[in-house]
Amino acid sequence: MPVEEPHRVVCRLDQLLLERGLTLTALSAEIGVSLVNLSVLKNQRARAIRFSTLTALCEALHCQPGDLFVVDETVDPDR
Amino acid sequence: MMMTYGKVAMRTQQSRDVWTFGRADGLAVKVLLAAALVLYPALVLAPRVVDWVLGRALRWETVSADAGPAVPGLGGAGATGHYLGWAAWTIPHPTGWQWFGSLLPDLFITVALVVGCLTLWRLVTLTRAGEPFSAAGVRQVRILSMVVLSYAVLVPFLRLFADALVMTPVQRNLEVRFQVEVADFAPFVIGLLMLVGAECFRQGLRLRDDVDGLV
Repeated sequence: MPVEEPHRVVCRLDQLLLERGLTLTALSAEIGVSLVNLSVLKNQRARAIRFSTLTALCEALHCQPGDLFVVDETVDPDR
Repeated sequence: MMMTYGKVAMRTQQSRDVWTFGRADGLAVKVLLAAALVLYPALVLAPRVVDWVLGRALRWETVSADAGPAVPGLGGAGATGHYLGWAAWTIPHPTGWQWFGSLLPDLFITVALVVGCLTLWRLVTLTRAGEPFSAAGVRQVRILSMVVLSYAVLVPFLRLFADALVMTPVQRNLEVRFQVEVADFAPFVIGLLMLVGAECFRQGLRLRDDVDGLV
């Protein structure tokens, strides 16, 4: 897929939070990323993520990047 | 040691504050822009319009081809000097066209000043809101550069045209001189620099779009 096309990456942050019994506020306090940015991520409005943010998220949620982000072919890229 | 650290921290904060474009700076810029918008028409344009309405004589200055009288008191080592040739005319019964011609350059400058000041006002507002690198910001910088460039290019020709309109009925053997000095190129250079600045703003917009949505 050419890089100019819209992406189909889906963030599974809400599922992971539910599985670990964490709230967005608690996660924000733990890793030092603002609630606004976490909300952007959770609501699929993020367009890029810093590696430092990704590392902090994976450590806090005890997961790998592949658990947090998946490429979903069924998603409408123009959402 | 804590006291010294505190003083250094306070000095750093104060020096950072001096360079920050704060609310007071924004207000000062807006006051200056408003003053320029009011003062130029009031001091330059309005007196001439009042003279026209009251039927007074038209005063006009032209560059004279002839040198002025010699400057007395010079002459050391054979040097001579003379006053530069400017002629100040008083036209007792000017026509409507002569009045219009006399107002033309200042009218254009007033319009350019209004557009320029309003554009700068919007740019300052955008910058204070943290949005200089936006489509609106790029547009404002481009408009400003066009205003400055048009001033640089058009005003000398408008003055030439005004000279012709005012002086044709009154001067025998009319000679209209087109005088350009080095300083007249400054607005042109400034306008070009601002166009380059607009391109920088456009690149800044592109870079900002790249990090839009970055967490």
